[in-house]
Amino acid sequence: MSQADHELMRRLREGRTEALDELLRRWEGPVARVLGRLAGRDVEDLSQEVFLRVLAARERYRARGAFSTWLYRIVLNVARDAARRRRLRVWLSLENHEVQSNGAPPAESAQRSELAESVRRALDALPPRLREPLVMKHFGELTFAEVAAVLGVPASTVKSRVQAGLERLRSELRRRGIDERELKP
Amino acid sequence: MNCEQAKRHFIESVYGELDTRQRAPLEQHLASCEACRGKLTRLEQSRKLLDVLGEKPVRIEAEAVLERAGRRALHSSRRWRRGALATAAVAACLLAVMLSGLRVEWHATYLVVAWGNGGEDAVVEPRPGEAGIPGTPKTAALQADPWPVIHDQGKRLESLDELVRLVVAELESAERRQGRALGTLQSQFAELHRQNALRWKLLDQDVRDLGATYLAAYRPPGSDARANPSDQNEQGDRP
Repeated sequence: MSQADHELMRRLREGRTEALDELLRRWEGPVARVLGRLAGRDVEDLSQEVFLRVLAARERYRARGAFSTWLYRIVLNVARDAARRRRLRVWLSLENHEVQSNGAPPAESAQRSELAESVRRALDALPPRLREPLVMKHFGELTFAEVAAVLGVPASTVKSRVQAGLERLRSELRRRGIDERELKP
Repeated sequence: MNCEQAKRHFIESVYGELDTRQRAPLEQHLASCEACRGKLTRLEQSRKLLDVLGEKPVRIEAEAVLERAGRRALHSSRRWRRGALATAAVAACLLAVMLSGLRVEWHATYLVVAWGNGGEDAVVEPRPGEAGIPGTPKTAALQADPWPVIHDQGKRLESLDELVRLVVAELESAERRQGRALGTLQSQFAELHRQNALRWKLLDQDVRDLGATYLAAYRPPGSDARANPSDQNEQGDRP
């Protein structure tokens, strides 16, 4: 898979735009899944921003490591930038805290099950140092070593943070009044 | 394997990344430790809880990404141009201020705005206890000369005026000298032209005279026959 991605990046560097189309079909799903859990909103816009950065960095891309690691590092940066902008907007009072914590529009939230909504909120409530490795591991479907490469920390740190993230998620759900039986899907 | 060692491998087990060498010892420990078994079960439940989150399908078109890249490049170049212009404007203002020697001093009861290099010590602070009009600065220079900066600049202007007069006079004198030289040259040139025209006239006359002499002295063969066709006919009838 990585070889195919390297080849697509090579073609993209040569200016063949159909390679971008193919990259999008391969990666738009995983990228949106991770961004959805990290940023919570404007997923389509942020996903577009990720591929825009891929396009801009095509000359600098070197097929040394896994393409997924490189791509998820961009995803992480885009999500962090979005979070920073949102914090600034909140600080400038352009956006209220309620909207920030309740990322999805009300109509969409109503359609979700109560448990799914609680899980989403509990995940959003995790501190970034726990949420980022957990989301990368679970929704990005990366190995611990790959997550470590994306985050630039040792694999042992990733393991302990993912475990701590899962434990905190459970305690957060209980704090929000989710019954123990519901926590056994 | 004890509980501490077992805990280090829980998360690997939950995500199916447990090393095959660790699998058997961990299972052995879990079979005998209820606390660790419960902890691992809760971790697995938490992992499964994340799967309840729905996924909204996203479709990104390559054209949209390329269009956005183009717009961003255009915006970036415009921003760079605006930045360069702003920097140039600020630099020009700073240069103008530096060249003018602008000086702004904010005192307790008055403000001094001065330009040029003169009048460095023109205004002094009022000394405590000295009499003065309330709200007006009492200055040492004010008593001697109320407008020292202006007077200094007036003297400089006079000097500059004198210098300009000298330069103009010098230029006029040089112009007169040049005019005289040019007049001489012009008359010399006219004389040369006249002599040249005379020579050409004489030469033309000589050439004409020479041509007439040549024509009178030399006639090419057959020129007489062409001149008298009846003679030619007579010669042609001869056997």
